[in-house]
Amino acid sequence: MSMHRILIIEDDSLARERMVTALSQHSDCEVLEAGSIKAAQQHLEASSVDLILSDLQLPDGLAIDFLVEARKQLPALEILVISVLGDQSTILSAIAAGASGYLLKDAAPLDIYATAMEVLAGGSPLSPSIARYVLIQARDAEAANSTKSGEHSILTPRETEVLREIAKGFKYHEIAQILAISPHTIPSYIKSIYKKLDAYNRSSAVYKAVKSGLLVLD
Amino acid sequence: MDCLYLINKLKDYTVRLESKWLLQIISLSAVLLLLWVNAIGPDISHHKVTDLTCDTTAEPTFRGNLFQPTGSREVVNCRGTFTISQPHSGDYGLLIPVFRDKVVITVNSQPFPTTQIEPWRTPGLLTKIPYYTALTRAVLVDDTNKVHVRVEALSGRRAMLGDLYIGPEDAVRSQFRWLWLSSVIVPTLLIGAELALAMMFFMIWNKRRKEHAFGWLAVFLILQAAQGSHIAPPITGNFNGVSYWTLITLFSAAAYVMFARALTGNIWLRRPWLLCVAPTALVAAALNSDTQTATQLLFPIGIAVLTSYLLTSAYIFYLGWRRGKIYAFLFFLATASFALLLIHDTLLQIGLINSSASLARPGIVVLVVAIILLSINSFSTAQAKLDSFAEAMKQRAVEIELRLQLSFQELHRQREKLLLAHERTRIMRDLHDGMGAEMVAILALAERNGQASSAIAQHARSALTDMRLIISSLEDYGGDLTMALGTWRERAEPLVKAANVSLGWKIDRLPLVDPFSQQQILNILRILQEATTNALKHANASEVTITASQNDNALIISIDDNGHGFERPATTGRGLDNMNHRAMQLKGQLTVNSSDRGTTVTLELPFCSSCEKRFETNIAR
Repeated sequence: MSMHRILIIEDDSLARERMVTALSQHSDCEVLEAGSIKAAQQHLEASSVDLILSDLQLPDGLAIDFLVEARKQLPALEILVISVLGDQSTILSAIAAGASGYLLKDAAPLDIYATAMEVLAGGSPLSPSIARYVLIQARDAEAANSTKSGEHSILTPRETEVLREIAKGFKYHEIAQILAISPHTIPSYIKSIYKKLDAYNRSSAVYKAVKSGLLVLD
Repeated sequence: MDCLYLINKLKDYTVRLESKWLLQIISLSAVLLLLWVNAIGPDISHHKVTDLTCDTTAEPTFRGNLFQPTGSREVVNCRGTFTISQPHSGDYGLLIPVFRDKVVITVNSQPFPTTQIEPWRTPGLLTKIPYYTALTRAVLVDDTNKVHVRVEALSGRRAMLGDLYIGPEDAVRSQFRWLWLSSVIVPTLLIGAELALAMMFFMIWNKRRKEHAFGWLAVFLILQAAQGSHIAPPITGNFNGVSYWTLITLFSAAAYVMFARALTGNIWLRRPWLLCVAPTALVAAALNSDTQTATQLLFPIGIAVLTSYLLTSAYIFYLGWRRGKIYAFLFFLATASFALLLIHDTLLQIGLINSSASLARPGIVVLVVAIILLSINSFSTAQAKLDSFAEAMKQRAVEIELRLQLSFQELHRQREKLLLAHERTRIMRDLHDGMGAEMVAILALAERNGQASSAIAQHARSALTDMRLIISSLEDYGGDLTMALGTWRERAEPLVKAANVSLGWKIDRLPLVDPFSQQQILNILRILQEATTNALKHANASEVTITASQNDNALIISIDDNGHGFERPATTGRGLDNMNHRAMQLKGQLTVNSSDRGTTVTLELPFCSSCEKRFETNIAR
């Protein structure tokens, strides 16, 4: 069993310890912790990591730029954003930071571990709220495109269907059943959706709003 | 788009203007033709008395006055003969087209009525009233008759006699009528027209002070009407042959130059008041000189000034035309024609040419017609412009109003969204900074203390879940309840998992619920949350299933568990009341069926007829 190096960036020490405990009790996890972006940077300089769990709002600023930079340096790096509320603006910022998803601060220890392992295994979890956001973005982009020319829509019809079912709260295996497709194909749809999302999310108004501080993150 | 529209409109105007311009040229030609016909009349040249011999003498005047106690007047005596052909038995007529100033006729020693022109009314040398008298057959003899014409000049003026025609009454009278028309009737009509137009243009100028052209035109026309008009009083009387009213002509010519200047927007004449110098000087000179000087020296100077003013105006109009002002061409033509007629008359008066009629005075018809055409043209053009601009404006107004309405609606939507976002941000910051962090801390501490505190951890976790639920209700679902439900599942999942319960999820495609406000969505989610929490806490269930579907009349959301049911009051009573209260606010129906095999909570939300059409669009489509 290979070792996973996981860096937890969280300024709230109680919440951080919870996460550290939830992960380090498993023998395949080696956990590093940081309470600020600066501390996280020092860790990254010293050694490489496979997964970062990070709060976005830290004492020394927004973590978005740091996470984007880290991902550039370590292309294999996976990121999960830690959030108290899991609200829309946090999710959008997480996507902007290149995260594969988010983790609630109060997630049960087993869930924390399970989510981390899922991400490390290459399965990007897509939550209903992210799915909803993507659908709305795609619809707006399509509306803007259709007035210009008959360009292809950004999402394929199948991807849209998958997203719609996710947004309605269905799990991957339930969706496979509803759409009568193989459960193994769903992650590939999700991956493709993520790629498209990442492409136009950076130019989106919400991302810009978050970057310019118009939208406050939790 | 707008620019193109305007350009097209302008093109329309240009085409319309050109066709009008053509119409004006045609009218002008018609008027000129009419004048020409007037001047010619029927041919009576063969009735001309050819053997007329005249001698000029000066006679002393009998009456003197304060300014000219003594003086003399010029008298012309002419004698001639005419023959009556035998077969003609009708009356004869005698016609003198031009004479000055008093004529006395004797035929075969028989005297005929005497005529004298009124010097105060008509311009001195340009006076052209034809003389006609019928010669009854009884006075005439067959074969050769003798005629004697005595022409007397008024004091200080030159006596003058034009041609003399004697012939059968019909032909001569007919020619007289033509001359009378052009020398008396037309000028009289003109004075009326001039006065009417002057008043009209004055009114226009009064309303639109910026349009100086109309003001100057009014001045010009007033002066024209006053000069030689029947309404002008005879201020000279008999003591002086000079018609002072004639001097007004110079001022009216100056006003005409000003009009040309204003109409074409030409400002090369930097000091326009200079135009008044020559007329004023002439008036001063005329008032202080004797009749002889006034008539023989000042009159030609006046004519020269007049002609130069007219030619100046014609040149200004010409320049205006060259600069692209179409109507200026019309005035150029009219003014130039008038100047030519004036020159013709001047030559006639000084005896260089011989013609039966003067043309300048009726020639002013050309100018007046041009003015009338101009005013009609400018009015109809302005009207057409106004009409189509009004139409265009109306169209623009409608478009703008529509756009405004749309943008207002959009603004309203954006504002609502923004307000909501602000509200969400505010609440979230409060929750995050305060309660959220505290709850996580409580949770962490409770977990650290182990089994004993797991109830605390559970409460902390459900408090966090409830917080997220409130925030979720504020998010933008585009009116799609299924999405709100999906987000609820995301939020509720940890709680359900922590209780070791499996969650069944049966969500049909539901119509859009635009009519549901954020508050209503929160109410639905709260009912869902309450029922689920009850199932988790009190029913000891291993499975909870959420179903959302619809029938023809209503949207149905139900929460089923496989627990042992509950007895009414006690712990669940308060939660039930809350759910009923929320269902009431939603105008829906809440039913709870509980048995020892499980509990079913059903929320039925009837569609409202007016909301139906809002269900058509779907966020995901």
